[in-house]
Amino acid sequence: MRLYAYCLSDELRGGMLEDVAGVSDRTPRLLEFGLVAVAVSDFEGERVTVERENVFAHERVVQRVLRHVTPLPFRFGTLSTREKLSEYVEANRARLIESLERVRGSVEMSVKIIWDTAASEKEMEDAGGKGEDEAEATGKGAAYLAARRRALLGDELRKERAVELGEWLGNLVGDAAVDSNVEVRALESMVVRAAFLVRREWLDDYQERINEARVQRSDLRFLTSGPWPPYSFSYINP
Amino acid sequence: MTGEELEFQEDELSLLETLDHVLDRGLVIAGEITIAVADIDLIFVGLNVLLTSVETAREVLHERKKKILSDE
Repeated sequence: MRLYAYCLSDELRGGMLEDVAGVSDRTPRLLEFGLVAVAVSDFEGERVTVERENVFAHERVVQRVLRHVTPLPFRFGTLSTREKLSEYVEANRARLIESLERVRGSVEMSVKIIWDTAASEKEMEDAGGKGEDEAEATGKGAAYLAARRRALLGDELRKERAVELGEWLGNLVGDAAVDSNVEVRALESMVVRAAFLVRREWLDDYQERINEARVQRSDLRFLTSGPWPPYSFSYINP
Repeated sequence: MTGEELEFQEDELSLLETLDHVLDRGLVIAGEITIAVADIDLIFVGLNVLLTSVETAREVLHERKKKILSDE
């Protein structure tokens, strides 16, 4: 019998998992390894299927713990054994405790920014000097090179704007978050994917800043969600 | 254009956001992630829904802009 691992913490207590169904409808329980406990449930089989029911079951258990304390969640599909989990905790104890300290009392808040790519493409095209190049370009080869130059200039400008956008959001949230993870994807509609680690008592302040972001940049679309367990901040430094 | 949130169906958004968090992030024990993507349609449809929603939102924004410009 293998064990499905949900999350771990040095503040986990058995009562936190009462009346919650885990993956495959199994009841989660705690395995204690010194100060650190891991929430697990029995699992029959070799692989966990990525399907709605299982994904929500994983998240349901971790969210239940999050009501009480902030754990470090495992990635979906972590199947292990008692021995392996013990080895993992033992080998990484100091780093796990350090990570738990970092997330303690905080939750993850997610912000995704989607920009209007049609409008930005027009802007990039204009900035790339369309017209001037075409007027000078004669022949297919020259026209191709001019178009290529425009595309490159447009891409460069798009990257600059995307980075500025990521920095703008990071600065706006500022000290309302204790940590952040901001990814910029200049060539995609979803241009910024940000996660902020926010202390529970600062959530109102954080929300006000996100509202301010919407007001400042009404040309953008914001997709916000949370509180989440700190998935983006659950890593252990090598 | 307004800064309001994208209008996803609540359960679609919930699943997509959950997948985005649980599949890509979190603690990893080397060699212990064992998932099967038997239900490929779920992921495909999920991402497709997201892309479709973005495209739909973009079209709505364009229509709205055009209307504002024609009203002016």
